[in-house]
Amino acid sequence: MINRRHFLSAAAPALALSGYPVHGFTKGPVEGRIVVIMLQGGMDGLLAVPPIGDDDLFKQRKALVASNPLKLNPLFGIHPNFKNFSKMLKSNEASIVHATSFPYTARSHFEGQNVSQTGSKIPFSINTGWLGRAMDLAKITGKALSLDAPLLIRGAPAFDNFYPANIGKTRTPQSELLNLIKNTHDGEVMVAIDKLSQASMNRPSKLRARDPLSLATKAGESMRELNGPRVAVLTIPEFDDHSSIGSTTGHHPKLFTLLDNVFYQLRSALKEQWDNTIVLTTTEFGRTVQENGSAGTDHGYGSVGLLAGGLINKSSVVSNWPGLSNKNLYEKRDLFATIDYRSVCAACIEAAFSLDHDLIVDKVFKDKKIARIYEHIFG
Amino acid sequence: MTKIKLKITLFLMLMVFSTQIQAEENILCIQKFLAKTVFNPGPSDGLWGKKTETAINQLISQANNFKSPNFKKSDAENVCKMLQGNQALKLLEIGQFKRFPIEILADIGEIKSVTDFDFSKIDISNNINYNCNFVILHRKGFKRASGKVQIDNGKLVFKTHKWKVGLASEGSQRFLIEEANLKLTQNGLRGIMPHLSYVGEGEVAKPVQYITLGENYIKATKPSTLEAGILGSNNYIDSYGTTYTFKILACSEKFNRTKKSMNKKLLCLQKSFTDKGMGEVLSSPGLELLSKAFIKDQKNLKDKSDLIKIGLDPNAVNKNEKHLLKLVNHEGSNFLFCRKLKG
Repeated sequence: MINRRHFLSAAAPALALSGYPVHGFTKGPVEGRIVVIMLQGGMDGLLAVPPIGDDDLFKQRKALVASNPLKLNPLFGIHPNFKNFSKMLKSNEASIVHATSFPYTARSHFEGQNVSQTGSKIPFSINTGWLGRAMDLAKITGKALSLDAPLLIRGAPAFDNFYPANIGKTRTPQSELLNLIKNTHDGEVMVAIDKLSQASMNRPSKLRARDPLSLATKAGESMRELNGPRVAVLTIPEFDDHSSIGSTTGHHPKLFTLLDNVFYQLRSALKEQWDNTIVLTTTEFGRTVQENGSAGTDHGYGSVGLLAGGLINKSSVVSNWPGLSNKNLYEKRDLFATIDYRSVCAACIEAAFSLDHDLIVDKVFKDKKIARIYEHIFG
Repeated sequence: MTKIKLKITLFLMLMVFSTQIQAEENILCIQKFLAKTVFNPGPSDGLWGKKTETAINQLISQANNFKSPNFKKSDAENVCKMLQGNQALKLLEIGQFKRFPIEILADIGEIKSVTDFDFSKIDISNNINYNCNFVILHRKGFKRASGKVQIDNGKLVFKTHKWKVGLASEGSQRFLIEEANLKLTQNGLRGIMPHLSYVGEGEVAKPVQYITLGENYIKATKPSTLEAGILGSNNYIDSYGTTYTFKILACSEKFNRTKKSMNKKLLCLQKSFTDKGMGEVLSSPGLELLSKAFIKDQKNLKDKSDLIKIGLDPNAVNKNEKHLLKLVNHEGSNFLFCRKLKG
């Protein structure tokens, strides 16, 4: 039986591209592009973006604050490993949302990841992803070119993945299936699929080792094409640092460098399409405010969301900062999430797919109470 | 007289009193509005205090992308009108979340390409133009990468590149083509280039490395008619300690040959123009543009709009589109080209 740790250790960097224009489905040009970077395991938002102006930070976390965070403003700093992201903040191409989470507090990876992808308040209550439903709504629903499309981009059954999820253990695209797909396209898309088909036949059985930077480059390159995908989902696993999480250096800071470089690679590979793009991170939950006995942190609640892209006009940190004194913590241990991260997702959909907020919260998230945060991020 | 004075005093007192009531109502209007946001104005008491002033200024500043309005008590009436006007709903929405501006004071520089390199103090061989092949060899002699590269005024413009990466995702065809920033000097190549790593069975994928060339240049031992610095070997060590050799080889002077050949065609064309009293066909910079376009687009110039697009004078193009297209696409032998013009 698979357990949580086996599940997490099996997780690998992955890329799924979706939203290829499909004849007969795509109506009108949609310029915007969305890249979601799923940070699996639960990123420590307080280590990434420490509230250096909150004295309680240093009372609560003695060893888990980087020694030289870059000061963003009197309240917030950012870990020094976010070198490129910091420059994007300075040039008004990035923003941060702090003390935020999807509406999930039970601290299970399985459930948290499900909620962060479905956008539903109840884990495993629906079998489509918020981004997939948004694509349906924007009529840009294309087909994913990955096996086992992430739940996040699964939409209505008719517009689901090119690869049925029930092809057990299939690791390489099947040439017959690719031929079928190829026949529904023409022009550059057909050529691209043909190349993919050839590549799959040349390497029939090899498992491919992938690294997030190469995947980010690939995603950016594909998305900058005129007929390229409008949506990419990248996965960076291994954030579940229960021990030796690090502060200035260490495992989490190493992942920050990786994430920072992924932002950079996306920006440089997207080229002029960067102006039409929003990249956002998601994570299933934050981590405890205090460190545990193994110099790590445990599953928590509130975390941070990092956003970058040319669709942002003015950089800022958006936060209804709840404070870090014991009385302000969620269940006396976690950073309180004061912003529903689905608001952030809805704002990104609004910016990239030009959909109305009321429509998004009604049709995509099925929760009309989700507040509009578009002006704060893109205004 | 006393009665009149009393009336005036009473009137003035009423005026002051009603103005004060109005002022308090304006402040109360602001405070009530702020109470529905995350900007805390303190108690809604109709008094203009520091909390009210800070809260309203923060809200409006946030709504205006941090341009501080600096409202005072005297502005209360106008502010209240604003909060009751068309912008009310938008301001209420903005007031639900706080934004903190980015005020980075440290000098962190701007985003630059990872292959940015300062060539200002290096003597670049900027008159050298060739089409070459290149190869990157592992220290044990096997090929890690190969492809075609054009040397354009000393700068290396990669046309194709193929890496042996094992199980790694090839990731990108663009690395050398789009990112490499290498230039030719008399002492070999200088600049920065990406290097993809080989990933064997069971190994963890390694991210792309960026290598600075410029050390350990070995001059070619074979005598060559080509300019010094091209046929040498540039050695470098990757971050895992393995030595590689970047070699440029099999260069041809295609660019120069093309230019010479075009020049012959142009001379014939010019002669035919002069004989007919039609003036100049193309200036010398025009020929340069044509040869570059030929190398770059490989006969992709189809009509006069393409010729104008590469920067040729529209008048010259209009005058003799057919011949210029033949010339730029290097069609037919010079002999036949010239003979037809004579005929």
